[in-house]
Amino acid sequence: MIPVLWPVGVLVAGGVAVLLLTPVIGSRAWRASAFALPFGLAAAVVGLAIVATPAALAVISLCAVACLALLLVPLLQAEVPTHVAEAAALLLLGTAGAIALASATDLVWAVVGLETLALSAVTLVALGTGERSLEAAFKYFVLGAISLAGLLYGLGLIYLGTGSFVFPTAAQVAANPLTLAGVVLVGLGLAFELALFPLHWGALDAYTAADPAVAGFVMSASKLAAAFALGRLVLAAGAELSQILIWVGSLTIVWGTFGALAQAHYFRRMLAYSAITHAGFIGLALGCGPTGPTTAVFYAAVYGSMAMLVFASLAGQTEPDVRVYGRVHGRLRAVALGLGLFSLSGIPPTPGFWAKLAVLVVAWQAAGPLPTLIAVAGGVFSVLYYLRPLPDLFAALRAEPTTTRSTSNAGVVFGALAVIVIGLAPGVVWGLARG
Amino acid sequence: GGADALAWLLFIAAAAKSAQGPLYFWLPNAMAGPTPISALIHAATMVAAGVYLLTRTHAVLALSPNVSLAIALIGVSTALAASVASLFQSNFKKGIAYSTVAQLGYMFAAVGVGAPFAALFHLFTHASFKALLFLAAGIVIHGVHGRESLASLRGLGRFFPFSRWGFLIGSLALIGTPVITAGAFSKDAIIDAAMASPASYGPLIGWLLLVGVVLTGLYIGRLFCIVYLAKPLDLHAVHHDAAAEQSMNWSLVPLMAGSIVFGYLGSWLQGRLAGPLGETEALPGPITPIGLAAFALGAVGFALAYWYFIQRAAAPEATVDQEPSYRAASWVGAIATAGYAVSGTLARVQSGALGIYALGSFVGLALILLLREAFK
Repeated sequence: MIPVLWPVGVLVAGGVAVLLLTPVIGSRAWRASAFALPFGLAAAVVGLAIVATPAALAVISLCAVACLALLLVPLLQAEVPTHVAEAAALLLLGTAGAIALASATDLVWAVVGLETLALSAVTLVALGTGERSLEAAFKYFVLGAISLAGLLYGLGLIYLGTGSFVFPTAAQVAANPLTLAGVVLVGLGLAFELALFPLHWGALDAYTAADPAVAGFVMSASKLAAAFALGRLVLAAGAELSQILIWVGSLTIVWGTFGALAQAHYFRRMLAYSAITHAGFIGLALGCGPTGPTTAVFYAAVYGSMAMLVFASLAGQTEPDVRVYGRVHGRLRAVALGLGLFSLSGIPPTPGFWAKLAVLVVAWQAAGPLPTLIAVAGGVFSVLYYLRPLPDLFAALRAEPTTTRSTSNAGVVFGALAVIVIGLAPGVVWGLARG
Repeated sequence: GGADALAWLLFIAAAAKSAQGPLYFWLPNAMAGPTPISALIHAATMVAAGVYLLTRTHAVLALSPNVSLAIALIGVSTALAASVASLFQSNFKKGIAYSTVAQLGYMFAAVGVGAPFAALFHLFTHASFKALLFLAAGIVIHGVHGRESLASLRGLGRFFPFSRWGFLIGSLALIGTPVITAGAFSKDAIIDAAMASPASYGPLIGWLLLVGVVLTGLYIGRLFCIVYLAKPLDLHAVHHDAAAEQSMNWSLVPLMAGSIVFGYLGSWLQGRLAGPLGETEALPGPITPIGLAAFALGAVGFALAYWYFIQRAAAPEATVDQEPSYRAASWVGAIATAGYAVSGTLARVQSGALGIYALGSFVGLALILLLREAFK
């Protein structure tokens, strides 16, 4: 049996168990977390024990993201409070799908994983409060269905060209234009999951409207899994897809940067646009020769830790207006959000710096000066939009600590720990990514 | 050729970093931060990076006489223009900030005439006396509830004797008082090197820098006279916070010492840097004709400031209260505004309409695939 199926199995079993326990859990969110967390941790341990690198990085980082998200479930402002059990189960099932997609060895396997992940993500987005979340989830779903259609069409073309569902090799791609077209279509279908321009539309709205307790998971799990899968496809199929990814990645950086700069008073949408920019960095890295995919998964794993920290500090905020500019309750959250924003903008010695540095190095070597310069400019301008909320955060630091609210800070603490540890020892993640 | 292009790009980068020429306006605007930050990054570390970059890469600049000439001219004109600009500042810290821009102009001019060690030496001494000026100013500003405008600080410096002495020592070093201050050694080194430069434009640069010292005396004399010598108007503004003031006063002591003795470290420093710089220009001694002339000119400027702001009892308010306008900054402002307008327009494409999204996906994909075919 393929080793990676073990953690997937643990996660699926956990999801089913939590669903069966719905009557016991009711609307008590902390119970949902308590039942689901052991399965997430067990899957990580199993993955660490028996899965070889670099797939082990996929298992560990995805399980870590899921466990952090499970810690945030008590802060989920679900439209219907009794849905917390379903939220926990969807987190486990989505993680199972993401691991399947990330470690897929053939295309059918990848599609099944991708759909499990995408459906879980859409439903998690829909759990948020208000019409806005439902609308965003619906659009995410429809656009996802369109891109899935393209992906399946590409799958068919590859099967026509090569007679199998295995990732095609460079020789097969060169031999048959049908296979090439299929590879491009499959690559673009995976690019939707990564949220690359011009397939980012639905993701952007979903990232904006999702409840902060689940937004971090939706954003980082899909990027991680898609980076792994696209990396494998690029490594197998060679240069044809690389060139497209380099330019699509550069365009995505430009689009995301302009979009984020425009969001002067809309913090969540700025974060969503910046997630598009980060997807652009991953896409650019994926196109960069033999070491590019390694760099891309490293970047995605680091991005996961930063996004989880930022959304952990935003989770459970009772601010009715989502436009409020990075305002959080309490000093711990303000400091954590500040750390997350610094890291996302890539200021040393935060993990975001190492990730951006790694991408710039491979881009300079493999993609040439222009994409590298675009990436540098994207990184420089990101400081502008990420650090704009800092005065508000300082105001939160000066304010008297509020004693009226008692929210769980576990997610914030663990997220901050992850970011600090990766910032101090990026080599650990890099070693796992390189395998 | 390649060396020229390289030298131009290095020069532009260094000019922006060290606030030279048309790229100076960010520095006085960055004075919004607290005074210790100004002392650290605007006197010593951050603006120094551009000068340092040029001194480390002077081998490239040596291959490119045109760029060297441009550096020298930009340095001199920045030194003169920023000195004049400092005279028109109504804000205490901005007055000192323009002085920093002017002194960086001296360093650029030194690089431009082929004397990188003189530039580094002036960077070294300037760091200590400019930090001294900033911190001395900070003591007064702290003692009057954070007021920074010269009109509201008029004469209040006399209640902070330590700060007054510190500012005086810093001012003397800035003008270049021979023998007893560090600034004299390094400024003489720059002017001497320019006069003796093999480049044809060297002596011209040297004379301009020499005459510029009048302006130095004038602007620092203006600040000193208004804040520390003038008759105080608003006595109630002063509040003494003994504990905080003591610790602030102590922080001036090492800087005072540095402003006085660092000049004698020149030949030692030159020996240490001989490897990376490969530098051979001779350092002038403590007393040189040019040094004395420079000090005389600086003293004339200081005396003029004293006469204008103290002897003439009614100083014209126009000089003190005029708010500076940052005209040079407006083109950057225009670019930034245009950039935000573009980003606003692009962001409006994402309107929330599902049909637009689907269309955008298809059109975008088609364009990417077509472009790929076109550029293959």
